[in-house]
Amino acid sequence: MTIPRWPATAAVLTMTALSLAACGQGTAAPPVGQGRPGPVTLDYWTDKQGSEAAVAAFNAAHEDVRLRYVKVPAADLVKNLRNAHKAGDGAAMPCIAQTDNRNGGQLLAEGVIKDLTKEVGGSAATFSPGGVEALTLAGITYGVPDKRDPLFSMYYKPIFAERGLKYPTTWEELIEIGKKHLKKDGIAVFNLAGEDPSTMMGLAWQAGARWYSVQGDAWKIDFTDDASKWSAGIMQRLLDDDLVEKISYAEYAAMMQEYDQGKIAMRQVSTWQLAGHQRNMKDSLGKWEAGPNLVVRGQSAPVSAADTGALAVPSLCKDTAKAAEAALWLATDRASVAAMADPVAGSGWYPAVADPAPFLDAVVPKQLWGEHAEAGKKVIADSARFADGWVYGPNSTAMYEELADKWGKAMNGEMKVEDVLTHMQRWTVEDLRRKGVKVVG
Amino acid sequence: MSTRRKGAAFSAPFFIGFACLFVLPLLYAAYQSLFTMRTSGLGIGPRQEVFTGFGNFARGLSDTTFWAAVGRVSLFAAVQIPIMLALSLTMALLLDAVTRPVAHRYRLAFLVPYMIPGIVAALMWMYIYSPRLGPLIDVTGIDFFASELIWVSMGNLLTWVGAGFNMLIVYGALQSVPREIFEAARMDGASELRVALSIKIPYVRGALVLTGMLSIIHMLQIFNEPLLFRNVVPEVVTKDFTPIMLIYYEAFDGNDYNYAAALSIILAVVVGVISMIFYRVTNRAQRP
Repeated sequence: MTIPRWPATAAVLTMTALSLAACGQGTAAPPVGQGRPGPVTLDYWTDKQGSEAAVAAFNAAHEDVRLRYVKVPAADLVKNLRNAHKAGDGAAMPCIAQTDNRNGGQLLAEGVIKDLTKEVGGSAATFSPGGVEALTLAGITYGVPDKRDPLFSMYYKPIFAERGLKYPTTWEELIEIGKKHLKKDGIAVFNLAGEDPSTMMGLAWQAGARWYSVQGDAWKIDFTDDASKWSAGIMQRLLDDDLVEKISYAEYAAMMQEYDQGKIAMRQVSTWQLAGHQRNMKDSLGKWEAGPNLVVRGQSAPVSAADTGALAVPSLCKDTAKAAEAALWLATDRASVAAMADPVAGSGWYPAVADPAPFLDAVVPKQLWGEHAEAGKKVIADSARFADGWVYGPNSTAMYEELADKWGKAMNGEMKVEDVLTHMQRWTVEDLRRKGVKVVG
Repeated sequence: MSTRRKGAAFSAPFFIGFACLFVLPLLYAAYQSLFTMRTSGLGIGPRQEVFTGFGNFARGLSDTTFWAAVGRVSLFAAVQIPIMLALSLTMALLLDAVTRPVAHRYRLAFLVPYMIPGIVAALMWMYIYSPRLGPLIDVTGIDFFASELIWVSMGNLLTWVGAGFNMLIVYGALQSVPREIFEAARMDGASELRVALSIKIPYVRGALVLTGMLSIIHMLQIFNEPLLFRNVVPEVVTKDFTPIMLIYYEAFDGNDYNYAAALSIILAVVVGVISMIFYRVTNRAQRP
């Protein structure tokens, strides 16, 4: 039997069309906090350990506003915020989201999060110096600082003690130690991950590079200044002289094993990485000692060049004032800050408050540092001097992925680190111009 | 109730799902691909959606990284798929040659890799391959994460996952071949190898064409495995390594949904054209 084709086709099309009509929009939920008596409930998107305790503390202390902890993996957070924003979905949108200056700058540029200059500006003094500035782009503050990354060095002491070596103070000294003393014994001075260009970027930043800066109503892009080139040169020497281990974070267990067996001499860390390091060490517990961050070219003292955590308020949130108030509370209240600083139940965060001293004890890894713990505490406190004036432009997340691609090639010797910078200069300017953003120079 | 209505009632669940989850997003993507987001000055604040017609398509058609990605996976497919299908065919022929109870036991065993979710399989193999912690380095001394070996490592993973499923389709086709033909051939003195080569394989050509086409479609859309491998071999597996990876990063990292939508449509057309060519060529080859 043969069936004529066209009626079947027509039936399929009709069914599809009918189904399409059936999957139209449902009724929208009423916007959060409107026309309802009782406390306002604000959603808070984060995946950071300790936030639940901080939310509980907030709810215990407030009656008119309730926070609801919603676990959103950091990898999906920006994407989910953008999607909810694009869909105009106020009901799905949280009122507080955990992000940082790298993603925050771009979210602000896209209009996904709010200008909080008015709400946060007056409280700048309650935060660590430069904290609010780190979350300010072209005069617009877009977040409440809730975490800072003081950077410092951590050395595997036996490697240096056995050879009668002093800890290096500059990158050049580190390279010398590696070349003269450690390479022949198969010990790496440092680990660089091929997928993670943050060490190179941080070094350029510490040395004074400002890849993005605002000039009037346009961006100035500068990946190829002397500071960036110097940092590329340091990385190139580490790679060319074969002084570094190249283990990916995808092989975290293997990386930790190498540290534990004394195959890597030092690590540049911040407090949030310490709990993980301590948890994974067996034989080397108590043998690690903290020291100041390495000094860069032309500077006499180390500074920390790293990202700042931010609590942002999405544009679709109806209760900006209440949300900003809650964010300020989360970032400064003692119980909330302590919950985030806790290295085991929390995230080992170094607080962004003006006086972090009461929380310092908590972030020191006592087993890992053993007898050096007390001295280490001072090292951490002294490292809280941050490089200022660094901003990310409106295409920062895409820029970082492009940088990661080229960094991987540089680490494998397929291109020079300095050529990565020239490529990034061209790429970033082209990408911004294509989107209609004004770029000078 | 008329037959017609009953038919409509039975097919409605499918059509509703098909329309909401496939047709509607497709139409929306097609619509989106005609626009582009523009901003001005510092690029801070609300952006404007501007109609650009086929501007995104023009950009996609001349985007060398996109076509390089398509070329890359096509070349990879040309090597990996024949190997995988040859393996599937061999497995199916072996199963067909043994008694049923034995075949049943092995059929299940062959299918186990396919039951494991792709991402889990990739994570598992990444551990097995690991030159630092994995067991293979001790046995073979080969670093499967070396830049020049990454194709082999990824191909092996895909073959391991896909061979069982394809074997099942080929085996199913083999089961439907009339057994009398084999008997007749054996009476004429044909060896088992001769029976396999001259009777069984020609009979399952159709199944091989089908599995080949499905494999090509799958390969052009490959995403999970290279995304995971990007961490360990970032110098090879870049963010534009495969077409879908490029689209993913354009949409969710570069926040250019419009361009990503245009690239998705171009890719769909490419997949359609390649499948059609493959189908035509193999169909022609089948005719005596």
